[in-house]
Amino acid sequence: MLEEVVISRSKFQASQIGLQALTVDRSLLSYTQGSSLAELLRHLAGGQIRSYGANGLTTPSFRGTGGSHTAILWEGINLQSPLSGQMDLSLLPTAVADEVTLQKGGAATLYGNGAIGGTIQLENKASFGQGLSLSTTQELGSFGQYYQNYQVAWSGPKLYSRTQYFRREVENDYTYENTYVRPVRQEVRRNASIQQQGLLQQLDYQLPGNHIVGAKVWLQQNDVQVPETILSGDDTEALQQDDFARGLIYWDWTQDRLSLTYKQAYQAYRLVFTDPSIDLNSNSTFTTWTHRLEGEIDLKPGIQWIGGINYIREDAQVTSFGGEVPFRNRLAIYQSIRWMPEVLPWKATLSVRGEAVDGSSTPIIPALGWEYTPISGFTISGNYSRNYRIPTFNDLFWVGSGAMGNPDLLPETSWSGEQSMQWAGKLAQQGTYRLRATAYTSWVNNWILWRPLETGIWAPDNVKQVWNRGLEASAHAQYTWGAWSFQGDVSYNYVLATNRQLKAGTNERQLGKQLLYTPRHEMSLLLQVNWRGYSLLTTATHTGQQYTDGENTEVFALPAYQLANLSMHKSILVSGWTFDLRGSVNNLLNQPYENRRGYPLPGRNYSVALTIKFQNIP
Amino acid sequence: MKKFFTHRLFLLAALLLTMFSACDPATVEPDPVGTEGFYILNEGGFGSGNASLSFYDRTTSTVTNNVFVGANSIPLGDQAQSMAIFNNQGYIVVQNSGKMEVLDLETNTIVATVSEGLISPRYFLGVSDTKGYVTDWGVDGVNGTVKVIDLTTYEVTATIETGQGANNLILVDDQVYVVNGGGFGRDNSITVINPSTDAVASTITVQDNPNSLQIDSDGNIWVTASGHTAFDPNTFEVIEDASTPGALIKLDANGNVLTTLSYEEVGFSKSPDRLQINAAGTTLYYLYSGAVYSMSTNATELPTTPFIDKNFYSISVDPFDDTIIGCEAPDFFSAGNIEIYSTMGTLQATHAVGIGPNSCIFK
Repeated sequence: MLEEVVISRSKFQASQIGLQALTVDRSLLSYTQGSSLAELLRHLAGGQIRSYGANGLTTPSFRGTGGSHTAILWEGINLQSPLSGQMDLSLLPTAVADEVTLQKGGAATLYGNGAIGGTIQLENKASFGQGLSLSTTQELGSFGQYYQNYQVAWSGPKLYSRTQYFRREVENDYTYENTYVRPVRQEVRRNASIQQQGLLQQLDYQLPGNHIVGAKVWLQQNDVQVPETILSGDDTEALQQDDFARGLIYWDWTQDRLSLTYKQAYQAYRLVFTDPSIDLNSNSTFTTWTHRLEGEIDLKPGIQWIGGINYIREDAQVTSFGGEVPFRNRLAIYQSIRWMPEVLPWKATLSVRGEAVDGSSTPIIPALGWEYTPISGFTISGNYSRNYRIPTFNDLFWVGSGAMGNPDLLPETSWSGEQSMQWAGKLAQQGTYRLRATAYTSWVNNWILWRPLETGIWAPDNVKQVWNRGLEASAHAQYTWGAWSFQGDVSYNYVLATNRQLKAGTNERQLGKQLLYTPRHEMSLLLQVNWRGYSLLTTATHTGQQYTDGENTEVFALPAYQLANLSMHKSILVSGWTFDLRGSVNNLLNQPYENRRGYPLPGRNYSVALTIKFQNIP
Repeated sequence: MKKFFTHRLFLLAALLLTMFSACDPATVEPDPVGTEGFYILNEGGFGSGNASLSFYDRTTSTVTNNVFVGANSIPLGDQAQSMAIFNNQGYIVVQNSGKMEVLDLETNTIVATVSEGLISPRYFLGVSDTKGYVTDWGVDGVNGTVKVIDLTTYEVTATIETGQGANNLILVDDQVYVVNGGGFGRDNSITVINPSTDAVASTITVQDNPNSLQIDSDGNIWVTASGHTAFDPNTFEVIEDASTPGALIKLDANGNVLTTLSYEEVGFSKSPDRLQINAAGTTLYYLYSGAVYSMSTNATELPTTPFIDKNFYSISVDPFDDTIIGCEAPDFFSAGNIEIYSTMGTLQATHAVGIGPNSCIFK
């Protein structure tokens, strides 16, 4: 059977050395197929994912950074809104990707704007020569969850085509315990439903002479009710409608020592926020148009040059931009030298990126990565980089609701460094293990925050410098014993993210204090067991205490919590047909928890799913 | 006559929310040890549910923060707007939580929570032993009302229509004066209510958006009005022709406008607000244009130089010694300060309090 490949992955982006990544493949993704990426990542990365409730705005926070400091990329294209700098992970069903990669640490030379704390990469795969496959998934779960997915894929010798339609709805009328009132009372979450549907089409075609061309389209509609904090007494009816269309075309050509890739991507996004109770109707739209040309040349055996040019045009139309219709042209040039001699235990890469935003340039940012393997199985590595994030359109142009943008904002910049050690080896004859430890440090300058001016109007400013540092340790093992196979992962993260410098006029008692919603300690565990078509997966996370105010007041802190999830799969193969039955229990311990104050997440809940797949082997 | 009003003032002092104007030491029972001092109400960040209550102890000159959560094991709520002390109970109005917590001031524990019928409540006034009034902005911050509270059952029993953004209120000579501050709309009226019938007795027209009021030693009512700032929503540029300036207005006890001292400039922050008065009822203090101003109740012109040239979120005047307390809220996600100033305007002490301090309430 041919291996699936990610054809259109950027060569430049794949050239990283000295950064650590966690790849979630389809087998793991399938356990949470009917839910969102937010839920999957909450299972895997605990408190590094912050959610305003079950389907509320969800953003990552890697290594002490904020929600706009992690670049979220689909096929290498940045999905972050130029308005808010964020992409809501709760809107992204896990079904839209075949592979999800979480990579922590600054990587803006590779991924560009916003990759200060890390990146989340979504990729679609293609395979050739496998014939026709049809599949459908139906999933039912607690709180009115109903998910359906239909796929048709044709995998010819030269052509791969896949069409996918999904529809997902969750009422989210779950019961939680309101501990903010006395006596404590059981309440049912209201105005928290989500309804979404989407269509994805992918085409990849191999041409003679090592050319591959392709196109992808992703259309999605989302109606998301926006609940309020349970500390508020209002009966909100707020509704957010997010509709977006994304499309890309690419061409890839590989010769002996040269390869070229051209990619063009377009994204149109419309967000309508309404709240009839206060007669609010706010409209935002934006489009981004990306063009990217990249080349890779083998200069000598073991030495490669990779370079590229990336142009993005961003346009926005927002009710609250006061008639301003902002747009900007962003042109980035980047290149990298990669040195990977076959005979020596060293690898290194040096890269540099510069971006001009409408004539004014962001800082030139360099990165250096290296790896050294003195003995087989033991590797030490490092990566040092400068990174940046340019102000968003909201930061620059917002007017209204007592707030006003600041056109004089500077880009945020950071210096990051990390050092890793890895030990990998065999476990008896049928197993492998890997131990890894990483220490990192990062200074983020000109951190943008909104705060009230003397007039009472809120405005953003480059307020502070933040120092993030910490440790990450993980162990991975897999083992096969007869018909049994086991896989286990355990990880621990420690992060100190503190205010190092504050602009005059801010509360100086925040100096040295941990950032809001940044737990110091976080642990996760994953265990998977397979036996004759049965498989069992458990994940567990521990998220430490989190502060919710700038001075780390204990009484406002969110308590630590433990989450555990359990899933069971059974696959049956009958002449070309696969029946896959799954049952899941989430939040097994029925732990009440929040990772945004006043936005409770659901207690124990269940789902069952059936996938039927037909594969016509040619 | 004058004596009558002065005596009335002593009674009112215990009733009123932002009126710290008088307190007769002879009629006040000594406070239990360690409780002599004042409360600081911290509004908290909107939507963050981190409103809190602090207490300043005069004997030790120290602040204890988070006394509400400490006594009740639940946070105060979202956006605490005001607190009043009435009949030795504390009434904390928590606007975005749509509730009012009634506290036993000996223990700071909850006696009752009023939430049914309150939508966007602002200020409390006790009008009799069994009845209280709470102003309410309504869902849209425009349709202002006064909610009548039965203080024996702690239930809303009636609603009185007022103007837009019903805000502060005081009881003068058996009449309740409610300033209609505009809320998210615009208004230029004071609603006068007869508390024995809960009927609107009259409506007084003043400058735009009256926001706070005090009574002076002559029994006159002083009102600050923000004025109206019209601006281009696209640029925040002030449209001067469509704007009206802020003012200080003096009314007699019958509600007749005696004097209107109007500012000339219009615009953001050109709005007198948070009117306070000293214990003798002779000197007014208020916020204007990023500074604290003071003015004699005999003045015929507005002051031109600030009393304290510093931007505060709010101010209070301590009825015990007339010190002026500035509430500083640098942002609404970390704690603020109170700064205590002498009657000469000299800074004497600074204390860290909770998030977004918005008023001091005197026992």
